[in-house]
Amino acid sequence: MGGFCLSLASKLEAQLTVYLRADTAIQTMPDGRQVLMWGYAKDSSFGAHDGTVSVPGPLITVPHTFTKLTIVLENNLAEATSIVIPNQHTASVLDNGTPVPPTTHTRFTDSQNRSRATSFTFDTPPGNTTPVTYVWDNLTPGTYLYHSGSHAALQTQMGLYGAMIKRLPSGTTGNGVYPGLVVKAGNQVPLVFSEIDAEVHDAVQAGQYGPGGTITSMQHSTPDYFLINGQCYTGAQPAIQAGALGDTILLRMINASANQHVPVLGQQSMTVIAEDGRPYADRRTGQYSVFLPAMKTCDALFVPLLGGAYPIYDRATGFTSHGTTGPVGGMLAYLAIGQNFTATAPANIPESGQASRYGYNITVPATFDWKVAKVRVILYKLSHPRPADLDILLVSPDGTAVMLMSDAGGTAQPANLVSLTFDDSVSVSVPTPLGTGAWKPTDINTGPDTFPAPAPAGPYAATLSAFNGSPAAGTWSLYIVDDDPTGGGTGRLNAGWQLFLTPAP
Amino acid sequence: MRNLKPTVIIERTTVKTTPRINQVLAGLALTLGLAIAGPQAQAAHAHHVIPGIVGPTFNLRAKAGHLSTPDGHNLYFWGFANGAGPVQYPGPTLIVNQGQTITVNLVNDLTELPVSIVFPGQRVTPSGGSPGLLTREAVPGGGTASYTFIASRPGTFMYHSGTRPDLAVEMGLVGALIVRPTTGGVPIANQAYAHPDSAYDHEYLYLLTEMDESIHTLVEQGRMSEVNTAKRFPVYWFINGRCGPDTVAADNAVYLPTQPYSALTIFSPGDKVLMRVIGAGQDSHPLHHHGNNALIIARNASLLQSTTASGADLGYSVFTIPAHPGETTDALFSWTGEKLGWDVYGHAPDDVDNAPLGWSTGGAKGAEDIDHDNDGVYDTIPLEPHEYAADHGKPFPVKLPGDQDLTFGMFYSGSPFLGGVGSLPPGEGGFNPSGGFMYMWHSHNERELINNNIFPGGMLTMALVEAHPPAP
Repeated sequence: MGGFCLSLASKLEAQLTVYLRADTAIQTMPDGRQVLMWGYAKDSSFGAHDGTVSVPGPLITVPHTFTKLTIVLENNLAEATSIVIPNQHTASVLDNGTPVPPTTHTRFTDSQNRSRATSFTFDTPPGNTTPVTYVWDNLTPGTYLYHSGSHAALQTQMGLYGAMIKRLPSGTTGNGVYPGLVVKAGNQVPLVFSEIDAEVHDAVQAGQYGPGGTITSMQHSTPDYFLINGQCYTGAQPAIQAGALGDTILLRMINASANQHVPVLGQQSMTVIAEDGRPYADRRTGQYSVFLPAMKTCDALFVPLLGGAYPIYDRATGFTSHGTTGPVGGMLAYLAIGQNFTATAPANIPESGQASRYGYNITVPATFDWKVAKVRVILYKLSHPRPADLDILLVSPDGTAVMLMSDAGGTAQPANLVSLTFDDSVSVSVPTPLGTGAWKPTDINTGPDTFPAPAPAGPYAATLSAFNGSPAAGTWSLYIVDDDPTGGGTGRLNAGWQLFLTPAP
Repeated sequence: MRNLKPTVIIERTTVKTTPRINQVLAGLALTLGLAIAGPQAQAAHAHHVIPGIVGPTFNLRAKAGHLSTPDGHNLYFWGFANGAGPVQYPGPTLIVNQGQTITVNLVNDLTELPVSIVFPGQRVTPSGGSPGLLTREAVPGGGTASYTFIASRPGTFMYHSGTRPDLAVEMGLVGALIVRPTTGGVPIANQAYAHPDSAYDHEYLYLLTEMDESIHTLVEQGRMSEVNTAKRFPVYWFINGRCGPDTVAADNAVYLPTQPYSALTIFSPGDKVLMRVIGAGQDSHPLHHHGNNALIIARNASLLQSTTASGADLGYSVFTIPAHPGETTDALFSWTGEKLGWDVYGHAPDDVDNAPLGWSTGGAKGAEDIDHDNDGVYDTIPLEPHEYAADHGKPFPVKLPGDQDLTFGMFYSGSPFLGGVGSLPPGEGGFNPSGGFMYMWHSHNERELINNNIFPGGMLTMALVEAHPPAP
């Protein structure tokens, strides 16, 4: 009977198992300096070595249906390491399958004969050939930091940390954050703040860290580089795709550094909802900044009032990369919020030639003073007896032209009130017969398709990415032409079209 | 015997009825070049209003200048000037009304770096200038940019350069923005937010910053490439752009030409003081206001409220206000001397209670003959405004030594009682002619109470409790 209960319980206790390897990597800083990092790689199994070391380590998201997390650790470093998750309960640690007390601390005797601990939990020895397994059960939903629990002052500086997110167990979408709060997966943005003190990393690399070395401890450490999600801002990073106007964005802010930071969101305020993975009884509305001490996590909601790239930056000392000698900024990132622009009037398509609205314009106001990072287009309720007759061209304010659809959809099957979404990230071409859905731009006839003025002359680009870097503001024109004068009948774009623009920083 | 009133009462009355003494002592302080704000500040009971410039259009110039520190040093700094006025630290406090459309026109007279302005918590439309990381920037050598926003919500905000803020904030390009609440477009007087929970008698600004001397020296010497803000190590700490004890000098003190804003806080017992605290630097500072707890009612210009109409019901009481970089905090402070266990006005026991009848034998019972301290006997001396009744008439628990046994601090009025002054030896005292209680408000990080290693100084100012003036 007891055995039955146990096996039933373990079945219910669906668990996520992650194979992490602590290992070294070299990170090139914005000023070209090469820094030794210790990070985690996510392997497919213990010893597989098929993952890539990253700092921060891989984002661990425990699905809503799971209550338990197991991390199997391999240690390719030269010193012992381990993993802890503050504010989550370590249920057990297994050394090659044999349970050991999770509260085991590695100890040493110092020069004054004192017994001192170097770890918060059971150590994984360097070069372990058998797995050491750390298990957390009854995980509490929220935003957490996992990090090394051994020689932690140094090992967290070296890069042994990452974000752990536990989704709310209830709900069916799997996107529950806290009780009463569901945020779409694409709107959940982890932001890990960290620092690098390059002198410490150099000393470790040279074997000069520790007693007798050039740097004996972390006591006088001061950081040189300030990073969000492992990167100093250099101007080269794309904005973080956070969602679209109308979305509620969740910022999961995690401080993996040894100093306090104060993320400030530009242009708008947030509602701070949780700290250390625990929701506040009273949410803190109207906050443009969040106080984030070392190892703290905070969650904030942000409902953008306008599409655009919102800066998020550190208001403490972190807005720098190694002083003036480095490139622009340290802890700076942009949250891209896309926005839809819609025109609803119908356009009639004649038996031959240009449609009644030619070009069919959407004007993006000048307040959208940014360049485009991604374009998506929707044509609403298109009807045509012979879709292959249609050539549809989109032209941006700077004259870039992309063929959305030409000679696609076949000649035999009429389209009736079909809504077509054009998106580069979709790998499927516009189908025959024409169907409602998302497709990549499709130009079937390789021969020239001509559009009468005012449409620009060809050639035309084949992917929407050609618009990247175009200004958002200005007139976007849709040109629809029926290029087959011999029959086929008339058609109609019944409900207009929509332009979805996502900003670049 | 009861006709012999205690000395303190007599002296206190003297001061109140002969304001000339105030003027004389204030004049003395001025003569000595030691102007403090108190004597020349507004009349004792007027509402204190934070000085600044009024919108909705502002013309700010970023310029370089020098500020002075009480240890005799001066530091090269970058600041904002009000139009053609002198550069100042912090920049002019911008005061606007909720609902106004604000325009800030910036000219950058610096030669070293572009300058811009960000207004955390506001949705700003920048124009002109050149694109920058956080907003549009005015190029060095006279470049311009403009910033427009609607001051949609009231409260305490800040502004600072958004161009290399790690360096610009360190160099001094910061200032306060105060948005006054309005109803129907009309400002609500003496209230920080729309709700009456934020009503106050006086408002004071505490804009907290710090500076690393070595960075300022490198910038002044044109050695910009050697500046490394990641390694900054502040040695000066400021309230409203001044290091203590300069913080208590009057607004616009002539010997602080680029540091116009005082931080001396003056109020009377029971007055509600709104503390607008701004963490304008890059470090956290725990602002400790002695004397009483304060109720934090807003953070980042957002009232601590559970619902939009609940008032500051989530406010909480602290004795140290944590001021974090970029964050603003509003707190309400007041002081009455409650529960000190002695009568701060020096009403003497044998003077105020007349056992066993409760009023002077043979005299008519007056309107003030009330048993304030509930000890069964009536008091003949009325309560001072906001006096803590339970301590009325309780004796001062210290026997005062004679003058020859005392060392006099400059703020000692000669009397331990509020509003009282006593005789002082020639040359002693003189900084506290109205017999106020003066005591320190300061960073609770005691390391910040120095001016480049010289104690005392740094992030400290004084609070001055003044007795209520007599009824007219």
